[in-house]
Amino acid sequence: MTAAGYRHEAMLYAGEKEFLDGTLPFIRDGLRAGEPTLVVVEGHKIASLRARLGDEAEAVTFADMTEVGRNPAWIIPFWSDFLNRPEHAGRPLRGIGEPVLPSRDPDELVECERHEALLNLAVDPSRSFRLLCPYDTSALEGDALAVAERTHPILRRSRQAWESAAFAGLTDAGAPMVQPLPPAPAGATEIAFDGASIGAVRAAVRRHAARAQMRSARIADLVTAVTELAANSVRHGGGRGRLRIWSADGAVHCEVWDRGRITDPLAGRQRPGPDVEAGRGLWLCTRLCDLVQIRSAADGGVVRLRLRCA
Amino acid sequence: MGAQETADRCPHPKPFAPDFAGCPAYQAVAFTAADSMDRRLGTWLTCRHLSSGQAEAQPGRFYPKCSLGGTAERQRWLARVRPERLEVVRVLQEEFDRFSEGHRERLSAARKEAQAAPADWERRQELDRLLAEHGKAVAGFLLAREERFEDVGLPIGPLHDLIAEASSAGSRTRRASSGRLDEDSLLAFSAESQSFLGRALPAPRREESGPELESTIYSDATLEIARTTNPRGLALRGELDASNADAVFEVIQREAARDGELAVDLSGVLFCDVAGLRAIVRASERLEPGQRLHLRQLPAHLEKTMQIVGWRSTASLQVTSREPPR
Repeated sequence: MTAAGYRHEAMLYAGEKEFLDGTLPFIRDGLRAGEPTLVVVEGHKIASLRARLGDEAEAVTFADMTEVGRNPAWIIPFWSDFLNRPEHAGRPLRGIGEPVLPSRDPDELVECERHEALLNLAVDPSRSFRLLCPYDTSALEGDALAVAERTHPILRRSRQAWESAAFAGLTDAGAPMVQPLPPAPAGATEIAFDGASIGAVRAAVRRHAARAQMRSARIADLVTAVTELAANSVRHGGGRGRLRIWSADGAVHCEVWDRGRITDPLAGRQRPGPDVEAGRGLWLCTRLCDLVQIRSAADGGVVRLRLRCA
Repeated sequence: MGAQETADRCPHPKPFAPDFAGCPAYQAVAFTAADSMDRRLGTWLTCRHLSSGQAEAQPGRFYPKCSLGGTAERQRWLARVRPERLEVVRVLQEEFDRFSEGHRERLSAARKEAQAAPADWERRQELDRLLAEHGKAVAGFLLAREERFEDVGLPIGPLHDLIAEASSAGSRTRRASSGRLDEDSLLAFSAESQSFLGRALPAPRREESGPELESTIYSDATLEIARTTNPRGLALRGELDASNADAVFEVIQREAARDGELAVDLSGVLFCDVAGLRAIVRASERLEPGQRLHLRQLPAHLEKTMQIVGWRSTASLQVTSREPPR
C-alpha cells in the first residue's frame, strides 16, 4: 500500500511503554517528512509524548481527547477542521486519535464505535491522511478489540501490520443504527407533543432540569437541543412526537421519538455550510450535549441526548 | 371594571395548586397562617408577584393584582430574568422549604414556650441553641448549592446572614411565621438576596434602555412584534420557533423594504431556535446590497446558538450583544 490516500489504522498496545513505542516513531516519521501532525489523546499521554519529543513537540499539535472528544460525535468535525485548514491544502497529513478509553461508560463506548466506523466515510479516500487509533488492550475490556477490528481496515501491533478480517466495510458504516438503546427508566416523564405544544415541552424540560440541580446555563442549552429535536419531529417525523426525560448519574437524559428516520449517517458531525436553508438542528444538538444517540426502528426513530448537571 | 384593573388582574385561580404552571412568571411562596396564639391554621401557596389592587371605579373593592403588570410586562420581566434562571430559583426555594420545615416547626415550638414564660432563662437558652443549630444547618445547605445560587445572582454569604436575621427576628416577635419577612430586617440586604425569601426576583440591570415602542404589528400565542422609533425598527418579545418563523421572515422583510437599515431589538426574546434564526438571516439576505439588519441586545443564549450554527458573522447582519446578566 502506498503512502498516498487515506489510511485509518488501529494500533493495539498494552501499557504506556508500548503506547510510546508505537506512537513516537509514527510522529517522528511525519515530522521528518514535514507533515502537519495532530495528536488527540488523554492529557497524561500528551505529557509523556511531549517529554519524549522534547523540542520536536513544537511542530506537533496536541488536543485532549477527554475535552475535544468528550462527546464522540465532536471528533469527526475536529479532524475535518484539521484537514480543511487552508495551509493544509494538498499536503500529506498525519493524526493519532484515541477515542476508545477505559474511562468511558457503556453508552459512550457504543457511540465511540459508531464514530470509528463513520471515520471510514467522513474522509475523502484520495486525501493523503494517515490516522492511527491506539487501543489499550491491557485496560479495555470485552468488546473493545472487536471494535478495533470491525472499524479499521488495517490493524497493527509493534512492527506488524495486517488487514482486519472482521472489517465491517463502508456500506455497513453508512447504514442507520438499529440496535435498540437501553430502555429509559420506568419513572421517566413522558410528554406527547405536536407543533402547537413545543412551548410546553420547553417548560417541562426547564422544570425537570432545574429539579435535577442542573446549572442554569446548561438548562438553556438542553432546552435549545430538545426544541430542535421536537421541531424535527414536527417537520420530518410525522408532525408529532414523544419526549421522555429522566435524570441519572448526575446528568439529564432526554429522548425524542417520532415516525421519521435520520438517513444521513454523518448528521450532526458536519459543520454547516453557507446554504441558509440547510439543516442545522442536529449539529446544534450535538455541540450542546455530552452525548447524542441516534437510532432507527421499524416504526420510526429516536434521538437520545445527555447533558451533565454540574 | 376599569381598564387598569383588567390589565394587571391575576387571572389564575387561588390558592395556587402545588403543581401550578399556568403563568411563566409565577414564583411560589408558601404562606403559613397562624392565629394570635401562634397556632398554625394551615399552609397555602401564593405568588411573590401577587398583591391586592383597588378597583378604581369602586373604592374599597379589591382584586388580585400582579405587581409586574399585564401579560406584556410579565413577559418583559421574564425576558430580563431568563426563564431558566427563574426555574432554578423556584427549585432552590422548594429545596429550602423542604430543608427548613423541621427547623421551622422546632423553632416555632421553642418560641411559643419562651413567650409563654418570658422569665424562664432555660427556655430562652433552648431557643438560642436551636437558632445556632439552624444557622449551621443553613450554612451547610447553602454551601452544598453554592454554584447554583451564584449562577442565579445569589451570593450565599449575604443570603446566610439574611436567613439568620429572619429566623431570629421571627423569634423576637409574635408575628406569625410566614414566608414573608418583616420589612425592617430585609432592607439591609441586596434585592437579589431578599428575593429568595419573600420578594420578586429582580431583573438583572440592563445596560441600555430599549427603543421606544410604537405599535404592535404582529402577535400570536408566544410572540409579539412591535414597530419602534429611535432607533427605527422592530422589537421582538416572546418565543420564536418553527411555528412563527415564516411570520417573522415576512414582517422583517416588509419593514426593511420600507427603507433599508433596520434595527431589531431582541432583548425580549425568551427563546429562539434555528428556525427562528434562519428567518432573521434569510430576511437579512434579501436586503439591498450593502444594507444590513442590525440585531441589538442579542441575549447570550442566542449569541451561542448563532456562533455554533455559523451565522454569527453573516455579512448582512450587524450584531450587538447584550452584556451577560450578573
